[in-house]
Amino acid sequence: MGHIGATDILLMIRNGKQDLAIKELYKYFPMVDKFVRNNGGNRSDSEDLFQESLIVFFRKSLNPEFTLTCKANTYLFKVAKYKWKDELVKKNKMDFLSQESWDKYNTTETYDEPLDFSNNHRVLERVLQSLGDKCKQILELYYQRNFSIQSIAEKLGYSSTNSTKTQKYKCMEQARLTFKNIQKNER
Amino acid sequence: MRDELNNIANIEKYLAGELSPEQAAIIEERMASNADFAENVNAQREITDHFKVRAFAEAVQTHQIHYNRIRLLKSILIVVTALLMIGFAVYQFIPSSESSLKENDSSPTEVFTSENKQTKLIQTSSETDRTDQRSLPKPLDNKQTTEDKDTIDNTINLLTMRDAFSILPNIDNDIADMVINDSPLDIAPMQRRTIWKIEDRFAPYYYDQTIPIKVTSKDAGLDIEYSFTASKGTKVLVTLSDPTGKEYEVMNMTEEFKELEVTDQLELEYAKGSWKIHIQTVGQGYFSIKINSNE
Repeated sequence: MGHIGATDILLMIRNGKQDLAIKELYKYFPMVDKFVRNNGGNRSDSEDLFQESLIVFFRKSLNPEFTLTCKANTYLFKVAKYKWKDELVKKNKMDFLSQESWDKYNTTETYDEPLDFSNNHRVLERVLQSLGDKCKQILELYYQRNFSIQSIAEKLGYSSTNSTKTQKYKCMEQARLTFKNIQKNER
Repeated sequence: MRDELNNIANIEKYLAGELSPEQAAIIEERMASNADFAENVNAQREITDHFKVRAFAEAVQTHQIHYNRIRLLKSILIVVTALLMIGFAVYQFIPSSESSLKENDSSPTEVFTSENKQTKLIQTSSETDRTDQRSLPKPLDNKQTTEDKDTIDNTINLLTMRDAFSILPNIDNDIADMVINDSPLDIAPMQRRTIWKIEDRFAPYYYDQTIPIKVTSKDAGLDIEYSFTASKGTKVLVTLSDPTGKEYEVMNMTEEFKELEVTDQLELEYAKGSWKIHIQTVGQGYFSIKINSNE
């Protein structure tokens, strides 16, 4: 199976070619699937775990300073391993984890950042929920679906692109404020 | 736009890498000196990144569905290919084993050929047709014929025709056009007429059909006429069982069906009782079988 390099995958993600990157990264799914099945999980667990690992990889790749010193499959496998270990600890099923599987694909890659972004994710979802429907829609269309300001204006019935742009900035301001408040409250 | 909205627009450009190095340096200096501004930049980054993550997660889920479908299709393809291979092997094996069985069969089947039978040509419409009229040999025990001579009752009952079909490996389209003709009402004396007829197709795969018929005629003047039209290479074997259980191989084209159409006619003397017509074919074609009365 021909795999393209980790740097190329990072470039694909940073250049907005996510679909291509996902297709490449899915070549490593059988490896993670096998690991999970051999360590107390099933197909559904391996699918969830792999998706979460891909998101970790994606989040890290958004940081321009992030580079990989190992192959993409090795990195993904290691993320999956740690996440699965966390999952087994949570379920109190650590005896399912075999040392042999754990030792496989050990690399010098270290994890100085948390692999679990779920808390951050939860806070940001709360921020979006706190916004009004119109604001949420504008931000989603612009940042998530890559709509142009012109298209958003037409879709949501704004009189001009300038007023749409202003509305978008106001929504971002509101979201920023809510995010900071939630973070302050949780500290 | 008010200042804060301009700030948001500038931060957005900074995060998207759309500012010149000088403009970016100004933003970074401000972040270093102003904690509140730095917090705003980080919050804005988190929010925009969150939307990117959501988009990515959606794309991953879509790909997972696609991946599973492809995997399922591959599994189905493997199973279908395996089944086709098994089916093909069975298809190849059955006809060859059947013909080898026929070759080695030591049962007392009486074979009629044109050399040892009374044969006379009858007129056919096609130049390629080969038409023989032959008589079955008189069985040793023929008491029934003499007993039934005084009355004429040319009726032939087709027994459990549909049951006979149902045991075959049929596909709906391969069974077609079965026609059963009743006796005409007015019968002229010494008139040859068809009193029962079956027409059917046979499929390219191995086809094995037994047609039971019961003859209640007290008249000996019956004959069976059959016609096979098939593509070249088709194998056809037709045997006839008389009421005593004796088998007659009336047509053997197991080597090769060389002609487009073959028509044969056999006189059914001592006809009363249960007869069976057994047809085995490998190849595609069409056949018709008629029982004629020569009263």
